[in-house]
Amino acid sequence: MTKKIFICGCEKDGKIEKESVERLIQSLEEKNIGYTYIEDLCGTVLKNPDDLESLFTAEDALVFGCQSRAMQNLIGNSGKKVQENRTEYYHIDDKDGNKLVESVRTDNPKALKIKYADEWNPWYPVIDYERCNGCRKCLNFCLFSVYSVEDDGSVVVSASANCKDMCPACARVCPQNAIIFPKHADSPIDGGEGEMLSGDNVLEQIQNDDVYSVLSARRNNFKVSLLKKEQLKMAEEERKNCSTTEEVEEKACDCNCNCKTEIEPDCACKDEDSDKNCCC
Amino acid sequence: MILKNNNPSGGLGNSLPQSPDKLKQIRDLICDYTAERELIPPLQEEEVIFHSGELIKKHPELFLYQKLLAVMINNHSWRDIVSGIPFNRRILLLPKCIAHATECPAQFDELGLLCEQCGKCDIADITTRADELGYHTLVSEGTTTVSTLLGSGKVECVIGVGCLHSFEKSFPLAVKEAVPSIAIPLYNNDCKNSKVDKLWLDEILPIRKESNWYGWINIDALRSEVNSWFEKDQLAVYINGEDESSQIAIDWLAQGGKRWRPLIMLAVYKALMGSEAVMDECIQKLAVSIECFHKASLVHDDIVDEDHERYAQPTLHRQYDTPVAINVGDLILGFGYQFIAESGAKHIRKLLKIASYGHRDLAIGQGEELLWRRNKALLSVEDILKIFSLKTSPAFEVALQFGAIISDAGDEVMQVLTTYSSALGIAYQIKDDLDDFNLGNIDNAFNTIQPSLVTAIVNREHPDKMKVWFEDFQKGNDLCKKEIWKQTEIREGIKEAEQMLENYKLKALSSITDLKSPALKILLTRLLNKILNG
Repeated sequence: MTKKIFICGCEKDGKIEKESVERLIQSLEEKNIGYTYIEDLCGTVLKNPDDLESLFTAEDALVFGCQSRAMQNLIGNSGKKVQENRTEYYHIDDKDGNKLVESVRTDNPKALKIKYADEWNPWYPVIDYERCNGCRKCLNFCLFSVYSVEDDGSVVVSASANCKDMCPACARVCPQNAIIFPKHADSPIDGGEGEMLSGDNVLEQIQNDDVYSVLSARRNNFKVSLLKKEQLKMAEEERKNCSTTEEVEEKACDCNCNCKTEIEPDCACKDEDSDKNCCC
Repeated sequence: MILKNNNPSGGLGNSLPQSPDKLKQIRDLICDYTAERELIPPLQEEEVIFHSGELIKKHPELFLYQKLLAVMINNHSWRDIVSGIPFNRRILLLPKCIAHATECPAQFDELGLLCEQCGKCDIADITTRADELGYHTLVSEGTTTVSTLLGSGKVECVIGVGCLHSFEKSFPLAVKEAVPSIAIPLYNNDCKNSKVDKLWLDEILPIRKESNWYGWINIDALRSEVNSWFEKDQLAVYINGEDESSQIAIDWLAQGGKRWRPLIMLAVYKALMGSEAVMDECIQKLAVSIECFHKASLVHDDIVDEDHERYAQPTLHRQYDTPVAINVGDLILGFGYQFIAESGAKHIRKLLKIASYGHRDLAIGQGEELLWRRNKALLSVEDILKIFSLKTSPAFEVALQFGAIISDAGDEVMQVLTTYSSALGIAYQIKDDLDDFNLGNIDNAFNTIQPSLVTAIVNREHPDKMKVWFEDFQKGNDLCKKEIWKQTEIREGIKEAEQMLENYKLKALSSITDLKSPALKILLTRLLNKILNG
């Protein structure tokens, strides 16, 4: 299986753990597998897309980096990738992806690097066209004309550099959750799974009920939830204090497995032949 | 597909002095400027721009701050009214970008950030202060929440913090809904780690004084009160005839409808009288009388237009027959005059005069239309506007003027109301016409029974094409029906009609510029929007 491997280090943001990147690179080098390290995919796609030609034209590629959906749409939005080619995207910590690497053979076992030297922090939206229904809410919402409409009616990100650093507001407005900010800290705005936090259709309530009581109720609910959070935290600490460390050690097995740190380990592994990654 | 224009756009006149002292200095300047003029809110965009231009003429060094000046002038026009609104009816809107860009632990719901008071930014401080006063505070990300709040028609007052960009975006909406509001701009437009002038905010938040502001008119609440007057047993108190015709009349009056006319009368009365407005029997009778004129005209309209359904029920002449329906319509008209005469209102003579003029003009407008129908030719744009004006404006005018008369309003108010209702009536009909086209209700849009503005415009520009379509359509050519509005000529006609609608809206708005009562001015601004949008 001949594949080209690309790794994005997200250096302009630190969205992904450096250790994860190093671990992957190390295992590739141990196995003498060639790869291309991209300092910052978001930045390079926007500023120096020509540098990514090897990725756009690769017949079969594996790309490691942040959320797979984010990278897939980031590359897809550029419109430069050869459509028919096979490209798989994996989160740098994805076990399946890491496993896949082991069986990969590459034509060229060298390590290449694509630099991103620009000062500008590449923060801009990426549209997932599988989800986008063209409602144009983002277009009407954005104060900085980041979006525009093509002749065929599709909404596109046409002025990425106008986007305000750290502002993911349009992604929250999108009713389809179709807007991704790859460098955003939280899922699903970063392209990860999960639902947008929603407050019992507060927006709808505002239109139908008394605005002021809806707002008061919201505030009170939140105060209660903060209080609960506080109580939960206290309860957890209490629990920690009660369960002494000796007990844990008594019950835990002697091997180096993951469950050793659990309070009530349910461990069935044999002592000698287990390692840190064993899952008993 | 992405990545076309990578140059951020610059902004002119977008600047903000970066010191609280300088901002305060400009605020004082605005105070002096407005002291010489009476600025009654809501100001339209052009007015605000005009005043900021005047200020720059006097102080050319403020040229850089034109947008800021506009915001401040608008703030100033609202200041008295905002002061009169209790804290617990005010909403403080803060932008999310004040929060710490990277370390803010808060989560979001649909309305915005749920501050955990970690103290890394100013939000906790500001909210605590606002909470103490009784404000409702929202920390929202962008303008969606703001538009929803403003558009709900239920928000009585907004103190908004945001960048000048966002104000530009939300200003038209705030004007449209006439929500008393004060806007405090951020020092920067970067959307992160933003700062607000706390001195200014502290100056605004606690403003409170007794004023001539009697409170927001909750149109939805008023509507349910009005609806209760049209319950059958309530109507039976006034219409006490045991005969069958009277019973049919009660049923018809009780059935459906938006009750815009009595609602308008009451809203004007409340706006002008404030806390002295009392919903007594006199007011109720006048409100019912206005609805009588309207409902009677509907009975007769349905006969004339051969309509079979209204409010998802058979029309009166389908429930019974045409002679019975004509007679019940006449009876309801009689009730209308009877209730005015019996209302015990102070100005019965004036009220009767207005009601009868309205009745007369409606019939003249209807007459124009009926006589036109005999010719089966398309009307000119001017003719159609005339019919629109005669047929729809009187209904609004009667309702508005009733409200004004029972509040002892002067002639200058009555004149404004006449101009306003004329523009509103025409706008209402154009909107109705456009809805037929935009909703694909082509049978209504493209017929020979009712005059349509869009077809008249197309006919004026392309008489030959129109002739062919018209004949095709009358023959019932289905293809023609489906394809017709894809035609460029029709689209252009729709566009022109939309432009006319905007012009009549502006006409209505500019007619109220000089009204002295902010409450009435606010109400009429909101009504325009509400009536034209359903």
